[in-house]
Amino acid sequence: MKKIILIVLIYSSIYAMPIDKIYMFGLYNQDEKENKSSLFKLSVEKTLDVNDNGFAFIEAIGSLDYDKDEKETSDGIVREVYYDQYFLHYLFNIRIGRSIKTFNFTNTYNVLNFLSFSGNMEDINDRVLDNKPLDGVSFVINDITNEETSQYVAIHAYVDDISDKDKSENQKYLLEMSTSEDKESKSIFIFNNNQGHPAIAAAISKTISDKINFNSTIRYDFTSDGEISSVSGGEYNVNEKLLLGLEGITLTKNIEGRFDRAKKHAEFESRDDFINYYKNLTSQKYISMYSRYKWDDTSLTFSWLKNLNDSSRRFSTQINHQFETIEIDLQANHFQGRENTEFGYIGEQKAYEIKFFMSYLWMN
Amino acid sequence: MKNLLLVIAFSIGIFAITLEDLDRQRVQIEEGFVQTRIVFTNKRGKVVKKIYNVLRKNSKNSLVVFAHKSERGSLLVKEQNNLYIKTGRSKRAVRVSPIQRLVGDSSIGDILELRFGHYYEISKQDGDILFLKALDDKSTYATIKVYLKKDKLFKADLFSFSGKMLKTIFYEKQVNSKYIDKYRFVSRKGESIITINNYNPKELPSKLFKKRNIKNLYQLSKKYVK
Repeated sequence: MKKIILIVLIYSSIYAMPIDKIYMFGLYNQDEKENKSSLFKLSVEKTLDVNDNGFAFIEAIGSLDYDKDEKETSDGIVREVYYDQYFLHYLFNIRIGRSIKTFNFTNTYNVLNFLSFSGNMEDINDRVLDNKPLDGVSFVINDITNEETSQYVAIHAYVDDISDKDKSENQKYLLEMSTSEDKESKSIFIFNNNQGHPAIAAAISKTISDKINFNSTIRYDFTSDGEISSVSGGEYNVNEKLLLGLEGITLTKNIEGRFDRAKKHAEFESRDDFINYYKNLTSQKYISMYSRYKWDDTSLTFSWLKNLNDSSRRFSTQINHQFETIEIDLQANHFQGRENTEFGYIGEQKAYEIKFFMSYLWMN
Repeated sequence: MKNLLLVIAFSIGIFAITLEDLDRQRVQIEEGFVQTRIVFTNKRGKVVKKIYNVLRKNSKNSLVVFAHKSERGSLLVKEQNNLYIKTGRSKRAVRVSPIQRLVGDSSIGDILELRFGHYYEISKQDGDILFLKALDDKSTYATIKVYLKKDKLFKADLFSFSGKMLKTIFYEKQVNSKYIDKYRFVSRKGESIITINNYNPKELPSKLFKKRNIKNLYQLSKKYVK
């Protein structure tokens, strides 16, 4: 059945003119034991302009995964499908359906959905399409008080993982209030966390001068202990080509996303298994540094993340080049640390990996 | 009394031309579609031609759709003066910082939107040269030196807040055009000629100028780009 969906997707992408965009992704991965795997993904997008006040959007993905030691597998999903409608001269809008919500303000991480991404500052994950879709409804009040700033109040209600066995635990309600000016944006979020406790988060992004940007997100979970987590950092634009960044990260024990991230190191069947194994392993404090140099159509990025508890480190290098129609990313991740540390090796865990990533954008 | 009259006469002389008058000499679309063509020639003589479709709601809300083959799918959206860019292959909007507004394609959009009357005041006049000063620090350019020829816009030098001259613009007209619709930019990297190929005033829906809709904007704009 999955293969049929994939074939239909590819067929409709290439031959059906109504499709707006096709993204094609190729990924090749090899570790130090020369285990090889490759992945091909194809994403198609379509926006329907229903009327001046509304539109519908659909994004579907087909993938073909080849592992040297395992069988070839294929898959197809509808990642995003939603309907957006504006009312009363665009003062209100409502979005219904499945969409990607990240609520991130800092470059490397976001506290609301922490560490569910690999932590690379380039949005390679965005293009690899790993982000989880959410099913729900968003109700937004736009530009509520004046015309000088862009601001809105939104209420989001959604289930954050439709494949979860216990959906009730993942029913989320989130109130978001955001305002942005040219050099400053601020947001407040009130929501329920994964354990059902209320939580509040505040985020600010500010340009202090033409060259310095400051980002900070602080979150407080109303548990019996009262837990605070935060991500704060700064960026310095040395000139139009070079960017330097530094971030400090403080986590609580229950922060979302640690489970998702730990799954990348070792397979756990349940959250309890993960907590039992990892409760003393992962740190509550991290530090991250990165730099990016861009020239013409090429950029080179270095990022470094250290677990301050066990001193394990991850170092990433990524080079990106854009040709006329094809974009290429080459990423090398190197892990350092003692055995059974977060970025060190765990059993057969590899110490480095190389990713080769290529995308092609086709537009109708 | 005589001195007072002299001062009044002098003042009238200074403000004989207002900044709004200068803005009116250019093609102006408060709301609608504008198609621009850019030909960039670098110092080594390499020529790059590009086309941009601009949808404009007002001075604070606009959308630039990159129409050239190598850039299709890329967008620049200005929502309440906050500028965001999305490249074709990415699905996310990235804020354009003040320093980035000074370079690259975003600077061209910024210059086309540059209205003297909205954001500047005359600080000094020396014959046919007007010295403009930004009304607040949100403006991309701190000072502008405007050169006139018989009360018509001829040239402008754009300066940063640090006092560095960033660009020189020459204002020109295409054949049979009533208004200024051709801009020649000179910078350290080379020369760009921007011409307005087509424009059409029309009412546009606000959904086109929302950062939250950025992944849909390329498709949504198609209906209005004509």
